[in-house]
Amino acid sequence: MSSRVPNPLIPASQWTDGEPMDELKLHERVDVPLETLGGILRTMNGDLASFYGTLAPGIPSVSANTNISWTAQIDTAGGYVAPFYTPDTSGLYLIAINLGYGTAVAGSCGIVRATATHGPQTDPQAPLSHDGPGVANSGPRITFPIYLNADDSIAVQCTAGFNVSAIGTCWWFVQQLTWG
Amino acid sequence: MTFPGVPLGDQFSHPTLQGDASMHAAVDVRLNQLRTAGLNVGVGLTTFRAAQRAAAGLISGVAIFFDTLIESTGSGSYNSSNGVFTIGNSGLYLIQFQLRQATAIAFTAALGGAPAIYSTNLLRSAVCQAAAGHGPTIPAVPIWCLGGEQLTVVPTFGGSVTLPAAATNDAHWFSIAQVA
Repeated sequence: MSSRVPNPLIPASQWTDGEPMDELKLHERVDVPLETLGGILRTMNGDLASFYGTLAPGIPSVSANTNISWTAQIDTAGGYVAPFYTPDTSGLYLIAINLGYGTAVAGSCGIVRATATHGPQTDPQAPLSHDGPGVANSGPRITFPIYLNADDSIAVQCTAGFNVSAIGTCWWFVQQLTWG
Repeated sequence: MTFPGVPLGDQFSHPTLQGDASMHAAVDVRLNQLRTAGLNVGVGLTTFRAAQRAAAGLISGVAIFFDTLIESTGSGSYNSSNGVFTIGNSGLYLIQFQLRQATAIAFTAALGGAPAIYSTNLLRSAVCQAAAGHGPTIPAVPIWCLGGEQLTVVPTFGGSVTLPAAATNDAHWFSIAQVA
């Protein structure tokens, strides 16, 4: 649960038997928590983190099994420090990847997790897309939901080296769907 | 979303005593507004799917006129005479399309219109395999759209591509689903 939700059990913030009532306490214990909850409902969707990265054509090559560095087009939470995306908040995220190969190779793509300090990979490339068909200008693609912790760092890898096919064909989305 | 439209101020003022009417207005009514707003999260979201069922020749750079509206709920509108879906309510949308060709030609398809960042980067599929039955596909991508923005699917191949008739299996389709 997001820490933005007020905790009704904070000591000394709630009513006690025989406690005198005054307008300041009413404001603090009614107006403020109600407004906080209302503010969450008004803004919860707008606060969802979004990342959209692309690769420019002409990049000499992307190596197999190496974290890909993206050009960030949208990064609302500032979570991208190449080549890793680190979510600002735990929650359910949607990942979408498309790689347009400029050469006739067959490879799959997926994400890898690193430690919070961007250390060695801790997971294999899972989930993975199916392989591209191994013809020039084609490539693999995948969309999947995944739960990420705030200290997760993820990057995209592919299992085959390739040249970028053309503008617009290589992209990576990370979209937060829920909180907590 | 209404809880309330503007942030709450201090509803309790000195030296006015709090009577049952003012407490009802400040607490009961506000709690009910909050409940209503919470219950309406996720209600009325937009879904849209159209298919191309008749055989069709594609023109590069011209939006595909998906000729059959399969479903449309919530806000937004679709014009099957020009293939344009106009966003109703602003929000986060999942957008996906799939084409299957009759001829062995490699081509790609892009998301047209939409927020400028995606048009600028020509968000599109990888080139499909040049074999009958294949075609460009975009897996579900998360895109924030504003009301009034227009989405299309645009082939970006300079040759002649024919979509075979798909009256029973809806092989060619364009899908939009609002998730927030």
